[in-house]
Amino acid sequence: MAVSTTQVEAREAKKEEYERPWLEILKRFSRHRFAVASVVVLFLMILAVTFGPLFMPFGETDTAVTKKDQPPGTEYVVPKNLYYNSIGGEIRTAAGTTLTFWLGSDGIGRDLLTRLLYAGRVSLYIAVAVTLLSELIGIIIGVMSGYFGGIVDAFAMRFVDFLNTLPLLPILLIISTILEPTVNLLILILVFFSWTGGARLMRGQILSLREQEYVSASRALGASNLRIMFRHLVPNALAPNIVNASLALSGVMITEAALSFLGFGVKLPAASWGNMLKGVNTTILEKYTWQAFFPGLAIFICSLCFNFIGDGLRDALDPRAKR
Amino acid sequence: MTVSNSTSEHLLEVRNLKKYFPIKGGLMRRTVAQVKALDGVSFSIKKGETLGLVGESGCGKTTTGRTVLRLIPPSAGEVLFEGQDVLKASAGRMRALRRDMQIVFQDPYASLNPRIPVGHSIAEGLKIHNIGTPRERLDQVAQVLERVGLNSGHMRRFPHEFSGGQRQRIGIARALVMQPKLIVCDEPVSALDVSIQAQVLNLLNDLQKDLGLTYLFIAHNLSVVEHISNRVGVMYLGRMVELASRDQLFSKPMHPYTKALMSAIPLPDPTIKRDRIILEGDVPSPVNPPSGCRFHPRCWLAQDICKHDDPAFEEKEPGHFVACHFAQG
Amino acid sequence: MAQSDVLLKLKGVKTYFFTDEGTVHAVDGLDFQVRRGETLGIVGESGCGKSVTSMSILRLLGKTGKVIEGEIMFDGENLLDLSEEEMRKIRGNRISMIFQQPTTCLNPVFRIGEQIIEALQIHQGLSGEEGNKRTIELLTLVGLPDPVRRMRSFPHEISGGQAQRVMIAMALACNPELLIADEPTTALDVTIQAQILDLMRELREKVNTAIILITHDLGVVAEMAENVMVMYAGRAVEYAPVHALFEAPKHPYTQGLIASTPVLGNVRDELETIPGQVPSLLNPPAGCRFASRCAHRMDQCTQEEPPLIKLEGDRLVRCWLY
Repeated sequence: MAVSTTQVEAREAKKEEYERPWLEILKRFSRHRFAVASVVVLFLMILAVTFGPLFMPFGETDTAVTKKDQPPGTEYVVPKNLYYNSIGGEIRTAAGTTLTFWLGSDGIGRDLLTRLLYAGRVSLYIAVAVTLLSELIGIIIGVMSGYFGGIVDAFAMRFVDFLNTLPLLPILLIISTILEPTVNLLILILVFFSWTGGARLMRGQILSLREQEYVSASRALGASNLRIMFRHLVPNALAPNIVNASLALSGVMITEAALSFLGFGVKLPAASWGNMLKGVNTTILEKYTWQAFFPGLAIFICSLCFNFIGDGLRDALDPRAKR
Repeated sequence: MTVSNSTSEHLLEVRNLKKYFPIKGGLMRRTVAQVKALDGVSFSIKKGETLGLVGESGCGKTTTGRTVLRLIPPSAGEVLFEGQDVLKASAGRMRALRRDMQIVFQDPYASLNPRIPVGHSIAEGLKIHNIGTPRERLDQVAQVLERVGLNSGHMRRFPHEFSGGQRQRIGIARALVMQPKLIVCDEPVSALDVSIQAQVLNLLNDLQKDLGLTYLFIAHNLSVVEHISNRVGVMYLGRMVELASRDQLFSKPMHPYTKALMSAIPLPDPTIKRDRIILEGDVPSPVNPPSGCRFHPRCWLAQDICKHDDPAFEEKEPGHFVACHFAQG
Repeated sequence: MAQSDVLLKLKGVKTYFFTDEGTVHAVDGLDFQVRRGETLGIVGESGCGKSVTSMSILRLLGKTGKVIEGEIMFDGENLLDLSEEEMRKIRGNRISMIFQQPTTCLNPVFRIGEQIIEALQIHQGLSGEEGNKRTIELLTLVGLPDPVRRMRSFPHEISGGQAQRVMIAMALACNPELLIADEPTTALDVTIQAQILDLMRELREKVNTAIILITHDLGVVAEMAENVMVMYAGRAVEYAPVHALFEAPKHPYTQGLIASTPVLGNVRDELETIPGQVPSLLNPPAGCRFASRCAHRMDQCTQEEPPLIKLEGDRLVRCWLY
């Protein structure tokens, strides 16, 4: 039977996928247009927050005392001796230069765009780190709990219940009196309190999946518990956790803001998206809308992107998803 | 209760196998009762033969298959594979044994991981046991796919791209690629349509002829078991009630349960009018099996002795074992 | 004659399902009729459209399915023309149905008696003492042991076989003219299946209901049905009285189906098989749908759909061989 070249090519392409399943997953992901767009947007955001501050004429805490609550686009001629750094750093810009508050300034005269960029670094870092770590821990504990059952399960789930009954804020207060609060410590603490949701979800999935015959089949072939758990069960159980993670991301940003109030995490005058929003009250909302709008928009765009990426990832990992 | 005498010709010997599943209840999750899924089952299988196990739901036939392969731990008993006790084998020894003993499952949809191309599913065993290079494994998968009537291009597809019959062939290929000596077929055709069922049964028959395989064939469908088996065991409520060669069993069933089972099957021939034995009631719960002979509450031959004395599983005729006080040909 | 002998008559019924993948031609032009008191067996493999047929008759197709063509005449009325309200009065009353999974058809939070009384109340306005009495009568009729006590049982307290008896009692509660039994014994063990089939035979004589028995099991059909319709890929391929069908099946598919079934006490070395698989109903092939698997295929078969050809002895076959 004659085989046309296109057929051979198609077959070769298929072979490639078979030997490198990641290619296939990437291909399916790339079919999800919103997810791909989200990756691009997120990538641009990360670029912006990483390198953007280097090009800004203002520092994170540079304060123009004469220019409080200015709307976006306000111009500002740097005066002699009146433009200073609130924490005593060097002044970057020579007197007489004309600068623009592209997104306006805040209540004490700091450039909003600059702060937004600085804030993005820490907020994205915390949100991604907390979410990934807590999902990872949640998945590992959830899969063990569901797979082994019995005492392991009872112990893990009672511990989850225990964690869920702990009131987060008072405990953080106590911790902050004992330990020096840093961003990394904040991440660890948030992870400690937020892996339980992911663990529960994963356990529930595993409980039903472990009775599937392909698990028995794999065991009959001599597969180890680890192989069964992480090759067969986790990929099939992942979808709810992915959705959970993408929703949790924006929640972490808000929680971080609440915590900064308690002197934990990102302390003023350092900026985070959360604490930029946290100072917002009705007066600001009415008169200086931009001060709330831009950090809000940043959080919104991020969580939207993460949700789309979550969707795309879930479908990409499922070979049954519609093409 | 010896069923076999010489070990050499037997590939598999099962002696007095028991499996009790605990029912937990109460605050402390204590065991409050036990489901006696398997309550002392013995049989053996010769090299190259097919032993059919037949019975209704809850009789313990599936548990037998899984316990023999040690997919679930037994409560008591011995399983000898080529003379070695499977149930006592060390982890390393067990790994090696798994190559020789494979299983084909009932549900062709549930028995393949939906996220893995079927080629990877088939090659998994080879990979676990470090057999061959990736290239060689690929070749072996291609060969075995062709052996079961699919083609090598299929290995790159995912389970949902196949029909039920094709998936069952893939399930068989997965077992076959390990070059096993024994395959436990756990209701391999009961989820399939009749015309597809026939294809799979013929395939199993051909493979046995060509490769000298030994099957433990578990099914609820008596006609299918009759078609494929050399010897047949009938199970009821965790016990083997009758075991004989196919011809003996089907031409001269001795246990009343076997007779009832055979007469209950509707035959695709409207001209046959049979005297039907219709059993009354349901199969009792294996949590509280009846005393004496477990079949006595539904048996039309039951006497007082059946209520008290558990009948022994005896060889009433050469090679024909029955557990009944009133067994008759 | 005031009452026509024909109870149900389907004419050119097409039921399609509109799904994301495309249109599934689940039933694609079906004609048959059921006389009063007759038992018609519908046999076929999964996906042949036998269950969709029954759902079309009862108009229980859900959101995606629709009867797009044809008529379903029940006692002189086209069921497809009735309002939903009128249809409700027919379901469970004049046409009732029993399903494959009896335990899932009973509501787990109500007692068995309550569920039967509910049916009686809806359609016959029986309640209280009368309803109780009739329920006990029905449960006795279907051979449920100790019906007075069983009425107070919850569905999980009874076995699958008993649940099917209860379902039959519910189905018969209003003396339906037509009973549709969709794989009524498939989920049951053989010895329990024998009990239920026995019961159905007994009841058929007692209550004189017409029965459409849908099954994949040729044995069940041979035992129960008077006439048999064999379906394949959404169409009827053969229709015949049961004796004639098993004695001399005409359609190659029917022949293949019978030959590929292992029969107790009749051991063959090799079972006959039908090669290949059922075609997709998303894009059914032109011509005869069995052509791709048929040993007698001719050129004509792949081009033109054979009509149902009438043969002697009240039988029909859809094949160009005749």
